[in-house]
Amino acid sequence: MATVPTPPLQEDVDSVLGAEPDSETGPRLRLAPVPEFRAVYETYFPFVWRYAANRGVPPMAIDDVVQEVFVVVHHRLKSFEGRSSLRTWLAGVCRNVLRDYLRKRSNQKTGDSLDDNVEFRADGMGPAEALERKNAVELVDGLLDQMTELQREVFILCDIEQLSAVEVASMLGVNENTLRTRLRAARQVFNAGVTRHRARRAWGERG
Amino acid sequence: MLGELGGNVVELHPESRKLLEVARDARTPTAADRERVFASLMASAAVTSVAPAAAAKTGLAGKFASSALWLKAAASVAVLSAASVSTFVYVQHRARSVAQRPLAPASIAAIAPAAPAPAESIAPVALPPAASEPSATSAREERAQPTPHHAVHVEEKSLELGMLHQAREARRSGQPQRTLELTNELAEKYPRSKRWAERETLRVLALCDLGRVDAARRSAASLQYLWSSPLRATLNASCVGK
Repeated sequence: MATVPTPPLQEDVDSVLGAEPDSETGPRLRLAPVPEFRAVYETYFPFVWRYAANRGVPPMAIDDVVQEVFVVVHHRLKSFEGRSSLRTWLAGVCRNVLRDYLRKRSNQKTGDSLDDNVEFRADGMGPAEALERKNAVELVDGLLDQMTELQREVFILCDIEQLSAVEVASMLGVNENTLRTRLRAARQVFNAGVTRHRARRAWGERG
Repeated sequence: MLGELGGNVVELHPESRKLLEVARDARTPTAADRERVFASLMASAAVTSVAPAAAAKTGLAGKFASSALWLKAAASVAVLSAASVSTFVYVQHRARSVAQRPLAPASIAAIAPAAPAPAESIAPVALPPAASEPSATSAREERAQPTPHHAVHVEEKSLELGMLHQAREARRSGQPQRTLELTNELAEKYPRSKRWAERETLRVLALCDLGRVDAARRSAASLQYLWSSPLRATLNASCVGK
C-alpha cells in the first residue's frame, strides 16, 4: 500500500527556503494576515499549473516554471498586504514569471521542439475518455493560438480560470470596458472555432 | 462573470463551455505532480541555502565575500557534495531494499520442506540459487515475474473484454436483449471499469434496438460530455442522436 507523504510544517519550509524576517521594511499595515506558504501552495498549485499550460508552456518545462513561480511567491509572500485577493496577487506573479519565460524561450528557439513526443497522460481512465480529453486540449490550444496575446490572457483568466472581471481588470491594469472588448473578441474567436470544428466533424461522419 | 460585465459581452456557446470544462479537467495536475514539484522546490531551495553557509565556513568569507568567483566555487562544491551524498544514500537504499525484499512464492515453495508428494508427480527439479546470496540477476528475474495481484488483474481484464465482445456479437447477430443482459452484468461486475464508455454505448444501442428510446436517452446522459469521442458518431447515428 502506497503511503502518502506528510506535508512538511511551515517551520521546515521556512528553514529550508531560508526565509528572513521583514526587518528592512519594518512593520506595516496589513489588510489581511499573511497566509502560510504550504497552504498557498496546496490551494493554488492547480491554478498555477493550468495557467502555465494554457499559456503555452510545454509539458517538458512546466515543472520548472511552476517551481519558479512558487519560489517568487515564497520570497514575496510576506510583502503581500491583502489589498487584492491572494489569487489575483498570485496570478500577477505567475503572469510576470511566464512573460519572462516565454520571452526567453522565443529568443532561444532553435530547431524543432521535442514537445510533440510528449505523450498525453491518461492515468486511471478508459481509452475513449483519454482520447476525448486529448482532443479537447488540442482543440483549445489551437483556438487559443488563433487569439491575440491580449485576448488570450483575458480569455484564460476569465473563462478558463473563472476569475471575476474586477480581479482580472485590476490585475491587468485595464478598465472594465477594455476587458469587455477583449473578452468579446476572444469569445468570438473561440465560438467560431468550435462551430467550425463541429461542422468539420459532422462532415467527416457523413462521408 | 457575465452578469458583472453586462449584456454587451458575447456568451460562450454551450458546446464551447463543455469543451473548456473537459480541457480544464485534463489540465488539472495530479497529487503526484504536486508532490514532485514541491520536492524539487525544497531540493533547489536547500542547495541555494547551503551555498552561502559553505562560503561562510571557509573563514575567508569576509575577505572574499565580494568575489563572485569564490561564491561560484562554493556553490559548485555545495552542489557536488549534495549530489554525492544523495547518490550514496540512494545506492544504500537500493541495496537495503533488494536485501529485504520478500521472496517470491515460487522460491519459498522451492526452499520450504514440501509435503510428501505422490510417486508419479516426483520429477527432477533444478535447485534455485541459495536465498542468502541474492544476485543482481536473480533480483531482476524476480522483479520481472508477474505478481499474483497482476495476474488476477490481467485475468479480470480479459474476462471483461471477452464479455464486451460477446455483447457486441450478440447485438450484431440480432439479439439486443442478450446484449442488454451482458452489459447489465458487466456493470454489476465491473462498476468502476475503464471501459465504461464502451459498455454504456452498447447498452444504449441495445435499448434503441429494443425500441426503448426513453431508457436509451437516460443511459446516454452519462455519455453526453464525450462530445468529440469516436463513440459520439455511433451515438449520433442511434435513436438518441440529434
